[in-house]
Amino acid sequence: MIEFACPECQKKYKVDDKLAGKKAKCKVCEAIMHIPELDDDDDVIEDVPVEEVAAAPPRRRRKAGSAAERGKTIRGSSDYFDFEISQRPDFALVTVNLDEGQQIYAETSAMASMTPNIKLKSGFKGGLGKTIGRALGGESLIINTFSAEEGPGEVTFAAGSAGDTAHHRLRDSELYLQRGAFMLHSDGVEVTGKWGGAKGFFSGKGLVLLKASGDGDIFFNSYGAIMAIDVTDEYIVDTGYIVAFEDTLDYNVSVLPGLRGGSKLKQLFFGGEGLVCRFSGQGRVWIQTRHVQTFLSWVNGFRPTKNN
Amino acid sequence: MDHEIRNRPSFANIKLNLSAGESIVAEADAMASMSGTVTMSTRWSGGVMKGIAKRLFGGESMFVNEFTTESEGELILTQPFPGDIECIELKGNTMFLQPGAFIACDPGITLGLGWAGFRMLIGGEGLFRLKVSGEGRVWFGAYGGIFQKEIEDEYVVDTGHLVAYEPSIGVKVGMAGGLFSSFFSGEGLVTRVSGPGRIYMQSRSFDGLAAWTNSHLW
Repeated sequence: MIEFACPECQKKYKVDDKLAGKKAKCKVCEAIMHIPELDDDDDVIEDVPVEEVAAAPPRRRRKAGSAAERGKTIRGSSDYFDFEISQRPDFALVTVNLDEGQQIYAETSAMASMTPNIKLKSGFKGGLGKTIGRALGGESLIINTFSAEEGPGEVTFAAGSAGDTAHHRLRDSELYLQRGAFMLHSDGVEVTGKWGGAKGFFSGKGLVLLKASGDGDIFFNSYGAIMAIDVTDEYIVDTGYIVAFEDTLDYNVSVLPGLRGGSKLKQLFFGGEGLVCRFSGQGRVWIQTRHVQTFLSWVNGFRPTKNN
Repeated sequence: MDHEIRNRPSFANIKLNLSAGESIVAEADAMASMSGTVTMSTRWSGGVMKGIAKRLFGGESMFVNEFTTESEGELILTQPFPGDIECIELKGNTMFLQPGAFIACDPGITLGLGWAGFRMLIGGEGLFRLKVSGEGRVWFGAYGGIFQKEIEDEYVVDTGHLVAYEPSIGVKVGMAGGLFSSFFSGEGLVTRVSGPGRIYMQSRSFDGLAAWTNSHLW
């Protein structure tokens, strides 16, 4: 059986395997749906990508009208644990249910609450080189390990800024994360810094990236909502809006086409920004709907200046 | 009087429809707009001394505004930061609010200060907590989304995420882990709540916002 939901009205359908790849009309809203291909992998989770499950109406588990119910809650399970991302996209909160002995690794200060049987340990993970790499990628030197002892437990994580959180399952694949986007990862995943060249690191203009690789789950957060874009040919994103992208994509940082060869005056109006990342190939890019530096420079204008 | 919490969760605000003779008590700067038929009077929050105490220790203002109308009118109340607003109805029971969370209440509600204990000061939660009791509705706000949790035995909440809790909840401040972990994890001190009872948490914290802002200003 293939399970899928109507992209328009979220009505769920189960159809026979032989209908894979065919078109069908939704009984409720009459939208034309593409029945997904059958995945040979018997892993149930990936039959319906997490992003699509996200669109389904949330189950009525909490009290009607409570804050957690209004957003589109993402529920999923991985090889390691069940998780839930609620209160999206404004103030996303990740709830992870750990079985006894299971662990999750988080960025510092990300924990919001937990059951008392969860033990927190912080330390340098992955040796000196990787630790420094992470620091250059805008993350803390320290990684916090949360492990459930004496029975199952629950931990909730929240980012510092208002915004969304997304989940991605790595399958012996690699994912690049923008500076500061990393939030949590499961066992089997390694997060390291990526040396993007001196320009990228020190000018504050280029891409400062973290690389997550391995086989497991990774959660990353944004400022603003997160949009997933499946690139099939070429796609251009302002560097400040990139949250993450798959390593199957080629990328190339350049000046915005309209600014190329432009006068200094033109660049001045862009405040020295105007760098874009040109993606090509096949893969997914996650972008955020707000720009951190633009927001902070806006805020900065209102801060009182010191008069010495 | 009916009420509606609109534009949730980011920019939640309370819209109240007042009828003749009804009144509502709100935090000093909560009013955003109101009908011309609504009149506002400012008074000390529970008396001069209590008002000053609330300003100093409760994170609330010295004054509260009372809104009344002789015919009918609407009133829109907000809070200073982006985030959700929740309404609870008290039927003679008590609720504790963290400093700054209170927005408005029905006139049947008594606002008081409760001693939270010296340990809470160390935890950055403030020495006092706002105690609301009586009969009527209380509106309180948070930075971030508000979510509630029924606590049966014990639960750990990062400081800054706790918004409100029932008096049956015990609170104490502890370290997040061992000495090294507590210091380097960025979690520092946490609040250990013990039940049974209900707590309200916010999904963002001011500390988290400050840390995020500082990490990007370079």
